[in-house]
Amino acid sequence: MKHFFARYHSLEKQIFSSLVLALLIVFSAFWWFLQSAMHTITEDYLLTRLSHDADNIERNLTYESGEWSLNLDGISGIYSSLYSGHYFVVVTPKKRFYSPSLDKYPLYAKRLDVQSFSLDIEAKKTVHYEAPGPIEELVLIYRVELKKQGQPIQIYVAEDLSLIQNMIIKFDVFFSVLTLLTLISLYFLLRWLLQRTFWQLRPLESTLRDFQLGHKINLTPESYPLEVRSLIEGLNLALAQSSLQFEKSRQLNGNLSHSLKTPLNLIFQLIDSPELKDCPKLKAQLKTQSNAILNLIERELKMDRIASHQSIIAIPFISLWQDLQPTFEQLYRDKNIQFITDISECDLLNMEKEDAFELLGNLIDNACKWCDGQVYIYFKDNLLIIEDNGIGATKIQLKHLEERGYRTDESKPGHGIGLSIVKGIVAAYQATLSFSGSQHGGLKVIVHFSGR
Amino acid sequence: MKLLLIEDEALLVETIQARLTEQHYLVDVACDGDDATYVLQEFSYDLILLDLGLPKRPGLVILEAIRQGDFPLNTQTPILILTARNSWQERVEGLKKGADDYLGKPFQCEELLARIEALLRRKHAGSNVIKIANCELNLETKQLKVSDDMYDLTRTEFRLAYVFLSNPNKVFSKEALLARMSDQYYDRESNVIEVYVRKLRKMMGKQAIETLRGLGYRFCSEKKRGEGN
Repeated sequence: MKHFFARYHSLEKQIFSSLVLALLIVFSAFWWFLQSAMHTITEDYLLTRLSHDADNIERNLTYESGEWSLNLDGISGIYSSLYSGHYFVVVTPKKRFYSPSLDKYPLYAKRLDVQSFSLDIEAKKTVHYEAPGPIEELVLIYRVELKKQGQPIQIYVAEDLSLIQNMIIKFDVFFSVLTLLTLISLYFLLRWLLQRTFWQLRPLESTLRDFQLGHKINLTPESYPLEVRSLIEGLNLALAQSSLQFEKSRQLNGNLSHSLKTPLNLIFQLIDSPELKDCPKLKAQLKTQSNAILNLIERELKMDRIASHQSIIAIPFISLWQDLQPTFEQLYRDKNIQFITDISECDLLNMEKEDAFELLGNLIDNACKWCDGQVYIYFKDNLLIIEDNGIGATKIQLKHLEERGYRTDESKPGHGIGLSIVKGIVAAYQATLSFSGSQHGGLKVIVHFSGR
Repeated sequence: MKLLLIEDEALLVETIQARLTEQHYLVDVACDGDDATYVLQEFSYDLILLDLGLPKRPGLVILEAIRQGDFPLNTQTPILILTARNSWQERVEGLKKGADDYLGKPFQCEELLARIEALLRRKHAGSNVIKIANCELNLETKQLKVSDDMYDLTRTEFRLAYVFLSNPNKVFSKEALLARMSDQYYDRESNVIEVYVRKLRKMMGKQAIETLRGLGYRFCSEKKRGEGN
């Protein structure tokens, strides 16, 4: 059974096929029952009529002076019309009487077991069967054996079956067509009902697709059928817990980073202390090692903070830039940088806010650091381009930019970690990053988001 | 120039303070949010170095309070944020709340000094020289040029000259001048101001620094000196 349902991955199809199967079984049974009942009732009705006719024939059969005679006037006129479809034959020990309608046609007279007949003298023995008629394919023959005046008498009364059979066939056809039409209507009704029911789950499907695409979702159990509400509530709980867990881990990560950097800062200050002035080799080694620790803290811990696998709300790029612009104007106030932007008002960046700030902050900061007064920012259709009008990078430098922690100029502040964080974020969001020379003279950084 | 360092890590405070003092800065220290609130209320500073992760009162709250005018003596003072949580989102938030620059921990002293100098220069349109009337004070060489005469200033002379030239025509009480020239533990009864005002007058001319009885001292721009005559 499990196997059977496993083949149907769609719940809608499972319910639908089960219901159709059940309907087919019920309708077939109903059809069979009605058909049998119809046949039995018709036959019983005919036999009752034939039995009454046989009784009437018996009453009109008289024995006088050792001779059997039949009064045809007392019997229904239909037996006198030729091939009327109503026939009888009366068999007495010495004489046979045929209904005029038979025109002497030898109606098939089935014999009875004489022995059993003789045992019960007063009992009437009846039997019915079908046999060919004088002109009809089949007639129903009712035979009764009785004793009259101490002599055995057999009365055969027959009626044409074809009319009744035609009626039954007509009824069968009519009923079959009706059943088929009902089944087809029920099939479509069921399909429509099921589709209508499952249609209510469509918003859930599209919401979950949004979740798969990394958007933050909010499921309201009240807008779904009662049967799936507990499922929605469970899903909401799981989503909330996952988001809470991430926030907690981010907090812990921040605390760890903070508590590691404070002593490291002290080491940085101590390296510059006058006591180490005379030990340049030791000083250099200490500097290298402490920088290595810093790189690890910055890179690894920041990578761990990336929320690409979390559910996110896409942010209008323009709002990010509106936050960042005053920051850069403040940080680079002395350079009086002109920001030339081509940003569509409604274009959304599919990134978590902190990650977006980290990516843009690092890239624009780099452009500001190297520019000669102008920074160009373009964002449209998941394509981000940041350029500056500085001196730019050589071909070798462009190639090196792809490497971790590479810095083109050691004289500018920074640890060279920004770029590796940018690369980490870009990889986590399945975007692509490329560097080239800008038409404005400086570096051109292109980030292409796959539009998750 | 008087700076306030708000930082809770004692060893870090010690080393930064030592390096800044070496560079002739006068450094006051507050080790937590409450300390910071007190000194910001009492003294005026040329620059504030603010750590965001402070005990008792978070750095961002103090930053907001300064810019909202809770500490009238320092509402306009440039603020340099020092923090170990140097994410760009935090940087944006800090600068939005009114900080002037941001330095992520760990930093090297050279970088800190460069940022401090840049921020202090901003006050004087990015120049290293403050020029008022015939007086020119070089912030880098700590020299004072009056007309054609050049003077090498001592640390205290430089501090006093900086206060006067940065705020021409502003009246300073003896107390206020003393507070700007010494750390938070200064001796309020000291007569050091009279001594150094006299020394500066010798260099700048008698009329350059005016004594206002019962009020204090004022460095006069050329226009004001003319009015005085």
